[in-house]
Parts: sequence; C-alpha cells; structure tokens
Amino acid sequence: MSMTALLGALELGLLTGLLALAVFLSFRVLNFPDLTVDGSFPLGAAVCAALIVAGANPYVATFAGAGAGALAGALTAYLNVRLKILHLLAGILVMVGLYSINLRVMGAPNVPLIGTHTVISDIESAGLQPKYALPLLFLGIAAVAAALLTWFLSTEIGLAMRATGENPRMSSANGINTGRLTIVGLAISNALVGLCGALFAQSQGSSDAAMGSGMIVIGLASVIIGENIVPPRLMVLAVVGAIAGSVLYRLVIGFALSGNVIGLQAQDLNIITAVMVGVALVLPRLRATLKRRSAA
Amino acid sequence: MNTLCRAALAAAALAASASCWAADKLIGITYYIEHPVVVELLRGFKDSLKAEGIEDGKGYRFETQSAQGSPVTAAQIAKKFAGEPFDLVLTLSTPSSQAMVSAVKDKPIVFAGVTDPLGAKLVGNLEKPGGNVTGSKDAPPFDKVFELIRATIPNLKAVGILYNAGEANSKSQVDQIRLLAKAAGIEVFEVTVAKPSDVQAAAQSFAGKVQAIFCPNDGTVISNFEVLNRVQLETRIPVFAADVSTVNRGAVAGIGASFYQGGLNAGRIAADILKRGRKAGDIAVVVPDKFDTAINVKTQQALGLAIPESIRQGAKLLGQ
Amino acid sequence: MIELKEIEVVFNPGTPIEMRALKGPTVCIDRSEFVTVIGTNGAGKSTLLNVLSGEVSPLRGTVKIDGADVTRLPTHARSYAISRVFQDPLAGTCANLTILENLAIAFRRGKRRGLGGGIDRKLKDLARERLARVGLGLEKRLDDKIGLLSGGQRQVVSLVMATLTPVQLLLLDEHTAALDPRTADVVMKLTQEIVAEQCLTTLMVTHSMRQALDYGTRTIMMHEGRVAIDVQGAQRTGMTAADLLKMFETVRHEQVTDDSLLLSAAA
Repeated sequence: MSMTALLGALELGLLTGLLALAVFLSFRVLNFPDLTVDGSFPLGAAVCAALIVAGANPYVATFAGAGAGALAGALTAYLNVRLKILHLLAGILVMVGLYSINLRVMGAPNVPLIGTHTVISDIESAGLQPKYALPLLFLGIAAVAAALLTWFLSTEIGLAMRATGENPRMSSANGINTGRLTIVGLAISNALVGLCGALFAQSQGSSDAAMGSGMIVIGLASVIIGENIVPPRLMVLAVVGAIAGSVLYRLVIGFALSGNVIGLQAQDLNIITAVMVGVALVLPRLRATLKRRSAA
Repeated sequence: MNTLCRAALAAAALAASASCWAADKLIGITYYIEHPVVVELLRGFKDSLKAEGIEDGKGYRFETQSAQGSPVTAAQIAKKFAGEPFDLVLTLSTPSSQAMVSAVKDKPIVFAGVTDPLGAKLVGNLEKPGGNVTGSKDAPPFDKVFELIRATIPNLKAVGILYNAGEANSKSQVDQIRLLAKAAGIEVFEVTVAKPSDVQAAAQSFAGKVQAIFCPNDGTVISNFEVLNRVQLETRIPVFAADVSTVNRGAVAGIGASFYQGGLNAGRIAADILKRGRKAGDIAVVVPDKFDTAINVKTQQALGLAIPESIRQGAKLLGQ
Repeated sequence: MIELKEIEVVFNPGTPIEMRALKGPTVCIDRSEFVTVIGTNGAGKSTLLNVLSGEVSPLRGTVKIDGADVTRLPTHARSYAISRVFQDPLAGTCANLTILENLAIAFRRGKRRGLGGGIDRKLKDLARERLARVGLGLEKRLDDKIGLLSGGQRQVVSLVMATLTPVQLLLLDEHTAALDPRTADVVMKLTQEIVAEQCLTTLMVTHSMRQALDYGTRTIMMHEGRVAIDVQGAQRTGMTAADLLKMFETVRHEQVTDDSLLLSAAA
C-alpha cells in the first residue's frame, strides 16, 4: 500500500470512527439495534449540502447535519418507546422514510459540492496539504468525540443510560426513566452519524441519496473488530476500540484494494475484505488458545 | 508476533512494493458498482485503446477497482489513485467520478457513463472543460424516442415512466421527457422505484392508464428489466427504451447511442491524452451524435404492434 | 402510610385466558411495619407487590403513599418512595457495571440525574461503610464488575442498593427463594438487621410459611385474589405454620391444597 493510500485509509477510518462511536452507543450501550443509521447518514449529508449550496456557512451547515441526524434518532426511539414498535422495525421505518425526505431536502438525487465553500475547502485554502491535514483533522474530531462520549457515560445520566441498556427493569426500579433516556441516547448516536455524513459529503464532493446504503454494516463491523483488538475492560478502551476498529477496517480494505497485484480482480474486493476481517477476528482467539495449550 | 504473522506481512509488503517496479504507463479504471452498462463502457474503452496500440501488458498497465456500491470505498479508491503515479484515470458513473474529481487535481481524468457532467460539477464547461477532467457524456435521445412513440402509437394520450428518483441520471432524463410530453399535450404518469424489487408493482400500476411505457436509462429499472418485459407482455403496453441493449432484452423499440460507443469515445479521448499529449482541459466533452434505432421483432409480434415502414427502414432488427 | 384500596387486577381481559388476579383487596401498611405476605400459587401476592411497585396497573382501585395518589405513576416515578429487591439475583444489578457503579445508580434513585460525575467521595465512603457491615469483603472489591460475583453476593448487593437511601417502602420479592439455604439464611439475617436499623416499612412476599412467621411484625395470607388472613401483634406471636393452616380452614371453610405451601409448612 502506498503512503497516500495508507493516509487515505487512516483519514476515512477516523472519519467513519464517528459512525463506529454512534453504533457503539446504540448497539452496545443502549442494546438497541438501530438501523436508522442508513438513513441518518445521508440525511446529515443532505441537510449540510443543501445549506452550503444555498450559501450558508459550512460550519453551521455541518452542525445542522448533526442536528438533523439527532431528530431522526429521536424519532426512531419515540416509535419504539411510546408507540411500542419493535426497535429493529422502528429503525427500518425511519430509514425507509428518510430516503424520500433526503430527496426532498436536496431537491435532486445528487448535490455536488465540488468547488463550493466547505470545511474541507477551508483546509485547502489555508495552504495545508489535504493529504496530511485531513487525517489530522479527523483524528482531532474523533478524539474530541471519544473524549466527550467517555466523559458523558461516566456522568449520572450516562451511568443511567448504561444501566438502561443492560437492565431496563432494574433501571426503572431505581428511578431511571428508560424511555426518555433511550430517546436521548439515540438522538446523540444519530447526531454523530449526521455529523459523519455531513463531513463525508464535503470531503468526497457530493451528497447522494443512495450514500447511506451499507453504513450500519460498516459501523457494526468497526465496533466488533474494535472489541476484538482492544478488550473493552474500561469504558475509555471500548470507545477508543470502536474508532480503532473503524481504522483497521479501512486498512483492511486498503490492502484488499492492492490485491490486484497478486492477481485478484476488482469484483473480488468484498470477499477479500470479508476474509481478511474474518481472519482479524479469529486470530486473537487462536493465539489465546495456542498460548493456553502450550502453558498446559 | 508469531512466524505466520510475520511471513504474511512480508508477503503483503513485497506484493505492495511490486507495484513500484513498472516503468510502464499506468492507467487507472474505477467504477461504482457492477452493472451491464459498465461492462459495455469498458469494452468500448479497451477496444478503442487497443486499436491505438494501448494494451495491458504492452508498455501499459491497467488497474481496475470497484467500489462495490459503497460510497466510502469509492472515496478510498479516489484517495488511493490520487497518491499513485497514474498517467490517466477512467471513471465510470457519477458517484465514482465525483469522488475522483474531488480527490485528484493533478492527473487527467476521463469520465464515461455520466448523463449530466455539468450538473454533477465534474466540469464547468462542456466545450472547454479547462481543468484536468473531460469525458464522454451519455445523452439518450429523448426527443427522438418520444417521436418514435408518437409515430408508433397513433392514439397516444398518456405515457408511463418508471425510474429511481434517487439516481441523478434518471431525474434529468425524466425532467426532459416531462417537458416534451407537456409540449405535445400528452399526459405523463410517473412512478418511482427505490429498488429493483419495486419494478413489478410499479409497472403493473400503469395498466389501463397509459398506451406506452418509457424506460429511461435508469440503473434500478434496467437491472430488473426482465420483470418489466414480462409486464409489457401481460398488459400489452409497449415499452420503449433509450438504449439499444434494452431493446435487445425485450423493449419493443428504442433509439440510443450505445454504451459501447460511449466507451469508444472515452478511449479515443484517453489515447489523445496518452499518445498525443493533449491536455484533458482542452478536450471537449464528447456528446454522442450517432444513434441507432432498434426494434425487437419478437416483442413486436407478441404485441401485434404495427411499426411504420419509415422507422423500420434502417433500424436494427433484434430478437429474431 | 401505604394504602392499597380495593385493587382489582385482571390479566388478558376478554380473552379465553382471562385471569382475575386481584379481586379488590384493601391493605394499609403503617410506618415501620414489616409485613410478610404468603399465599398459594396464583393467590395474587406477587401481583400485589407489582401493583405497589408500579409494574402492574390496576383496573380499579388506588395506591396511595402518605396520601399521594401514585396509582397511575410508572415505576420510575414512584421510586422516590419505593425500592425493591427482585427474586432473581441477576435481575437487581447490572453485570457489566462495577459494584460502585451499581450503588451509584441506586444512590440517585428518586433524585434528578444530571451531568455531574456519577461517582464521588461521599458515595464511595457510604458504599464502603454499608458493604463492610455485611462482612463479605465486598467493600474491598468496589471496582469489580458485578458479573464476577456469585448469586448470593449479588443479592446482598441488591439489598444494600435497595436500602442505600431512605425509602418509604421496601419491597422484597421472594428475594431468598433462588438462593441455597445457607446463603438464604445470611441474606434474611442481613435483611432483618437493616430493616430494624433503618426502621424501614417493609413488605416481603415469601413462599415459605415459616419465613413468613419468623420474620416481620404482621402476616397476610392471600387466597384467590383476596386477603384471607391478616394477623399481627399478640395474635401472631408464637403462631406456627400449622396454626396458620388451621386458621385458613376456619376462615375459608376449605382446606389448603397447595403442595408448595404445605411442604413449606412442614419445613
């Protein structure tokens, strides 16, 4: 893998690290399998792009994208908590509905951001080389998000949220309004997703109606890979692990993209990725088993 | 780290560094998702280059990458290409092209399979793009297809169109058809589909409302065209297409510039850049000007549709 | 004072499996009373407890805590006054959180939760003090995840959590039923100590007649959704299980046929 490809993988891995944090919060902390992600990612992108093209400040537009994501997450949680719709279905309903909403927000299936004033173009005009500056920027953003999330989960509300996900009955008995916390939690989670979408659209040059497809899979893979490489003994390790998993996933894809050198073809990308991720998941366990056997 | 791990890493490093050996010229190709259109474009591209002596292994190396439908992977491919010594990059379809144009400013990019490069902000100007990007644009001849429909169906009052509102290419096509229909006083029934499995219900909803169905060059509809074809035969509403290969698959008639032709055009541009040293920014975006009319005889007989002789003459007769 | 008035509870109304769990009993519990509730299967004792905790909503009737009508309040909204120890030792704690974190959650029961740090000095001191009294060495393992503890130890922690802050009613839901006899004994003794020390108003549902009579100040026996026997004070002192069964026959003109009740009476 060339240096640029490596930096590119790092950059994207850190950016989608936000997505991994979001899925960690919904899936692991709240125990809520949230499929809204496939809809809130393009929603964040759509809102941000529509605002930028209409002349708004790109930083405001980016936060607006996060805000839109938060609303989507809150809606999914509301459907589950108040209307008693199964969490998987609630997420699917919102995700499906958002497809149409995103098209409305953009007014077109695709809103190009090439040549507009974005957060990314600011970096370029500041004379910084995007190749190095963007990975650093996204590292900074991921670090801040991780720190905030770790801190939040140690507060009274955060602790209550963790209890809600693990043992809702005990939580209620201890005065925790599990319904309200689920709504807040999913809002925060999808705000991260919306933020990720908004930044991604600016970095890749467009917001597209179909860009959400498969995002939940990327998020889940990142979280699970992360748990396997960084044992989540402490909350801060679990959070950092999610981001590390996201970066590792992109690195794996980066290696898979170089597969053509050893005769693999373009259409084999997905299976190469799947095999490499499978190996990455099994390897730590194999090593532990071998160590145990040799110690016995 | 055990020996197995170390060996694997060494092999990978060696393989990766192997790509640095070549003094060959490097051509990068990327597309968004596997699709019959992509196959046709690539075929045309490679044939066109071959005719100019540019072939994989003969002083040139081709590297092809597919984003397999993931926007993040498309971005990663773009960043990868940005940092490697490609002499030219071919991008197929709008999402891959946008990602590449965002990431690569210092290498020539040739796009193909894009309906609206101006709207997608790939170029600022079709005649003289000015930057490092040019290419071959799709331009399905809607006006001609529309005339074809009117000529074939004398008592035409309403036309049905189905498309995926999420595809940028399709929306611009449908907008143009809507204008043409309005000018001719013909009603348009539009139904959108979000995924291939929606096609059947959408097509069946036209029954009793329209006398013809127009199938635009829409990835979602075209990928499930067999279903649309079946509905065509069941409801006996003829389906017209803006592309010859769709007629081959069963649309009763259509006019189109072939995607193979689009690939050829892109290849010619690439050869201009690689062999004749022209700059991408100076090469005008190629708009197809040659169109083929095609008729599917089998479908025509099954529907009992009469096609005017003036159209039959010079048309490609398919499905025999 | 805790008041349950004419509580009617029907499960699956209007269906073939409709069950009238509570048929209008009225129970008043005074401050510092330790009430034990016993009954046959399906007598309604667990339902009674769940109506108090808020997990079951009665069709008719009211629940009042010190005059405040809490009938329609959800569980979390009445937790300022009511705490509970579940029967399942795993149900009362979060396995993936540490002992200290679990106690922190119990500590904020009934209070507003904000962005303040979940764990502070005051809590740590309180936790150490309460756990030290139990004598199981848990006060030295505050940062261990609860999942590492045995069932009995988890139930002890649940008990400490339920009594960490002052409450108006402590609900004990057959909280020793899932423990082995030795651990059950330890937990019951601990329960008695804590209740006496804090003068807690307590309602304990139990399946064991002996336990119902050996502990507490008042015993209620439920049968088919109503209160069949309610004894306290002099009448109750020295009563044995056999006495209770005889009283039941007199009152209800029928014999107790519930196996588990009879077996526990013999124990």
